[in-house]
Parts: sequence; C-alpha cells; structure tokens
Amino acid sequence: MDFKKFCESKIFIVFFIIGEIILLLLAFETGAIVGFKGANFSCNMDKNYERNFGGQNAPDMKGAFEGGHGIFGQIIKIDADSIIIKDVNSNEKVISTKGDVTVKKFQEKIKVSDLKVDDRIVVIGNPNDNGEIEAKLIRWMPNPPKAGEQPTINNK
Amino acid sequence: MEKDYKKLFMNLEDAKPSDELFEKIILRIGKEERMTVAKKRIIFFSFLLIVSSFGLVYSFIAVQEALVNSGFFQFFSLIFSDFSIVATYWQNFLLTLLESLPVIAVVISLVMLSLVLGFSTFLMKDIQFINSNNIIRKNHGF
Repeated sequence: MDFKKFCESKIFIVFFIIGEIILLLLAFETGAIVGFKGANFSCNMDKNYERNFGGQNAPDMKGAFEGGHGIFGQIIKIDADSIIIKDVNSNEKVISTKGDVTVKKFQEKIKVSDLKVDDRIVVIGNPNDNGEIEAKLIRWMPNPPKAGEQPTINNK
Repeated sequence: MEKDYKKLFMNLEDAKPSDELFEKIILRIGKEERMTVAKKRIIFFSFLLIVSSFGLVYSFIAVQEALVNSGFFQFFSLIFSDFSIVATYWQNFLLTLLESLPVIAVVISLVMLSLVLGFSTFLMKDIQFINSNNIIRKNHGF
C-alpha cells in the first residue's frame, strides 16, 4: 500500500487521533505525578524548615514547588548524617546521608566525610517526610574555571 | 481601381479572435491578481519570519540558560559518568530530570520553531508561485 494513501486513509486518521489522546493523557498523568511529588516535598520542607535550618523562617517559595528527587548545588554545611546544599536559586536543601549512599569523585568512590564546604555536588535520591532528600548518589563536580583561569583536573 | 478595392474589402472576412482568447484573458487576469496577492504575502511572511527567527534565537538562549540554572545538564551528565547507579535508581533519576526540565521555556521555543517552519513554508510557496509565473512570462514573451 502506498504510504501517502495510507496516511490519508480513515483508519490512519482514527489511529492518529487515538495515539494523540493517549499521548495527551500520558503527559497529563506524568505532570500530575511530578506535580504531586513536588508539592508533597515542598509541603514537608516547609513544615520542617524550622527543625532543619535551626529556627529560621521558611523563605517565600513564590508558589514554586521544589522537586525532591535531585539537587545540584554548593555545599554550605556538612553534619554527621546530613549535608546542606544551596542551589543556583539560593534555595537551601537538606541531604540526608544516613542510608546507603554512593559518593563519587571522578572515577573513584569516596566517603561523605571527604566532601568539603563549597564543593559542588549533584545528588539523586528520595524525598522523605522530614523535607529532606535521602541521597542515593552524590557526584562531586569540579568548580567551573573563573574568568582567565585555566581549568584544572584535580580541582581541590 | 477604387471600386476593386472596395469589393475586395467587402468580401474579406472580419478577423475573428480565437475561441480561447476570452478564457486566456480571464485566466491571465486571475493569475495577475494572485501574483499581486502573493507579492503582498511575501512581504507579510518575510516580516513574520524575521520576527519569529529573532524569537527563536532568544527562546533557544533562554532554554539553554534555564537548563544550566535548573541543573538539568548536570543531572543528565550522570548517564555518562554513573550509568550503573542511574540504572539502579532510574525512577528517581527520571523524576529528577522531569522536575528540572524548564517546560515553559522548551514549549515556547518549540512554538517559535514551528512558527519559523510554518512561515518559511508559506514564503517558499509564494516565491515558487511567482518564479513559475515569471518563467511562463519569459517563455511567452510578455
């Protein structure tokens, strides 16, 4: 059968419309799941902000729901079983390192204690009820070179 | 002598236009009208194409900035550096990517891209129409 004729056939149009509807519903469902998880994490983070950040008032999130499955930012504090990170938008998040965490720097595995304040890290994990991210993977990232500075491989 | 001429012209048949002449004139007028409309459309779509092209460039820059600021590139790079761990926690990874994806900026840039493609198509069709008419004009000597 000629492809052009097939594309113009009624069966193709019916299948095309059904496919579009399925795609639309899938996109809607994905949006709903991501939105619900984001809202849930933001709610927990807001509830536990005082506990996590020691008496500070929660900042105005301007209606934006923060995702709780990953973060990229700079370490501002390291505790025994948690790390506090500031992301590009200056939002602070608590990363729980209690569970099974893989910390990687280049190709080698390192310990959480090897990380330092001001290090840039990418975290993948699960949001918990305390508004923290339970880290599964922490990937150390090299600092971007400053203007006029040569990038170095061993960025300490 | 004069009478002979009179006789001659009286017996001559009137020049008759061809039967297709009327149809040809009407078709020609129709084509000229379409040419005028096509020329106006070219100016209109050229303007829209320029505006939407600027919009496309601007929206691509905005998407790039949004991807950098949201950490999308950094998350995505984990596929290459830590594939086995990403595969283990693929659901968390997928949700992270979705959460960090600047949806509005991407949608705007896609709309801009479709506008540029749409205006280019209309423009090309009109240019093609005018070119084909110009070739016919040259071949027929008018």
